Amino acid sequence: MANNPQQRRSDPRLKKCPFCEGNAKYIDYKDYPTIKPFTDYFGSIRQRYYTGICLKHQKMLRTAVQRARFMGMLAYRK
Amino acid sequence: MTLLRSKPAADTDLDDQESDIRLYECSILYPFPLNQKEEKEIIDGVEEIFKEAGAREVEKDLWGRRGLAYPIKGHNEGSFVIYHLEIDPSKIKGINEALNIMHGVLRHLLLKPPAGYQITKLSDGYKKWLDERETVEERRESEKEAKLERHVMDKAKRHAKRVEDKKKENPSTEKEVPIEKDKLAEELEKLISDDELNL
Repeated sequence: MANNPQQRRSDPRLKKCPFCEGNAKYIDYKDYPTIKPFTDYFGSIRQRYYTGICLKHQKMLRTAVQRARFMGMLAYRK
Repeated sequence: MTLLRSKPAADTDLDDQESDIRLYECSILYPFPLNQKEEKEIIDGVEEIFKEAGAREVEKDLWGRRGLAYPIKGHNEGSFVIYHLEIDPSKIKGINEALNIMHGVLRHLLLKPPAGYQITKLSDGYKKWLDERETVEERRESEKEAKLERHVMDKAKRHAKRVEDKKKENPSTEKEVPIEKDKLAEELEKLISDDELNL
């Protein structure tokens, strides 16, 4: 069952950072529509393992999400 | 404090010795269902604070009505204003305190924009996003079509190959088929020509 190709997860190393592809120098807290997909249903930030973001951009994303939360653009907790 | 002071000093020695003025970004959130008078009062009050600090307004962006992700002081909707200002860094603390006290401002955020930051208005950003989305959708569709085409081509090739393989494997069957057909035709003719058959 474990070797069933349909059940196997894609290799996380194959994922590419969506911000690196767009050559993003910074992540703005004001364009919350772009940040929102990187938070889950409960409002917490998705892990790097699942989104494929690089460490540099994940740190930028973290500050952007925190600021957007403070300004009421994103939810702290659903 | 010493650390805070020492850092900008190093920067200013290199970059701007004559003017110690930096670009800041200030976003302000105030409740939405307001009279025009009250709204104007809030915006005027905020701008007065900036004026007192000797700030020069670079850009002002009115976002307008926005839904909030969670209720703030009982308000479910708010309006955003975003200012880009050139302020003397020593006056930031005073502005922050004044905005904290100010009546009618729900939230405010006074930040130094990141390096390489480009000031874009919300409406321009929205237009750009729309254009980008269209191009992305087009690309996705073309990719889909190419994939489908390749799939069909592969299938056709495979089918052709299979037929060829079959021909190679048993070429004798093909020759027999026409003979059988002839026999069939003959038998059929016989049956048809039979007068004894009554249907």
